Amino acid sequence: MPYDVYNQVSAQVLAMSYAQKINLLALIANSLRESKTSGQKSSIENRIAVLSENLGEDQDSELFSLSVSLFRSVFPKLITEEPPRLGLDDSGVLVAEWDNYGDYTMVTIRFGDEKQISLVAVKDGRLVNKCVGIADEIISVFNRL
Amino acid sequence: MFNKAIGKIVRYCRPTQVDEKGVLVSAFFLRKKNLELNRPEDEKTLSVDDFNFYKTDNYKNIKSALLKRMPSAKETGYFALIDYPSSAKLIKQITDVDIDIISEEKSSHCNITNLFGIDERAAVGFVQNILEVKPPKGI
Repeated sequence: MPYDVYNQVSAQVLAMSYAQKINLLALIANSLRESKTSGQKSSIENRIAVLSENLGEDQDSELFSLSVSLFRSVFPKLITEEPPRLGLDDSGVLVAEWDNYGDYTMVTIRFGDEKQISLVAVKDGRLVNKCVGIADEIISVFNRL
Repeated sequence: MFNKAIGKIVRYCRPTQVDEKGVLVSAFFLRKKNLELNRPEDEKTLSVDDFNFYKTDNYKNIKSALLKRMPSAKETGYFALIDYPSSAKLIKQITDVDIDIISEEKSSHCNITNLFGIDERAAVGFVQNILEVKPPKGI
């Protein structure tokens, strides 16, 4: 940033009230979060495109599409800044995987169908959580990990 | 005969089961039934090859055996070499189930049993014990 612009911005910030400064900080935080989220989103969409291109003839394309749309509806509700690794099982179902997620060795979510989403969380070689349910249940369990 | 105490297994992973960081857990999930694709039943065992079945050119021979039984296997997929006893031990810890392996007499093909219903948890045990990942291309 040029020095004169820096001085101008500094002066404006200094002149702000406490509430205005808090608002400015919130704006900056939001804009950083949005830019991170949009970067995450594009890398996820790129990965889904790769998976779609490489779907095997013996895998179910309908199941794959259903699974991807289920993932797209659930993922924004998961409170995490870490993008998952995405893969397909032999049936063509999308599986999201987080390695070394917080204290957990691995957390996986298989997007079977809307009533059969399954989550597995393993920590230190022990199963900590295993549940099968609808999106809201899985979101709730994941966000409590 | 597969040696459960020291044996190594090879699992073919589809291109969609590997990313830039390595093999994903989904490579070890059992396939579910699909009537439209002529699969009336859920898969009950995990298909692998005994790495030490052949005395020489292990990967090359396993690739030939794999292509015979699974012509749809792609060169862009990967072979994951896995330590069987360590996997079995970790799977027991995670699931409380003892997996087993049944080998064929005249081929490297083996089936891992006792995974039905626990495969999503057991997959972690396999993926954590991968020794090497190799593309079949050029083998």
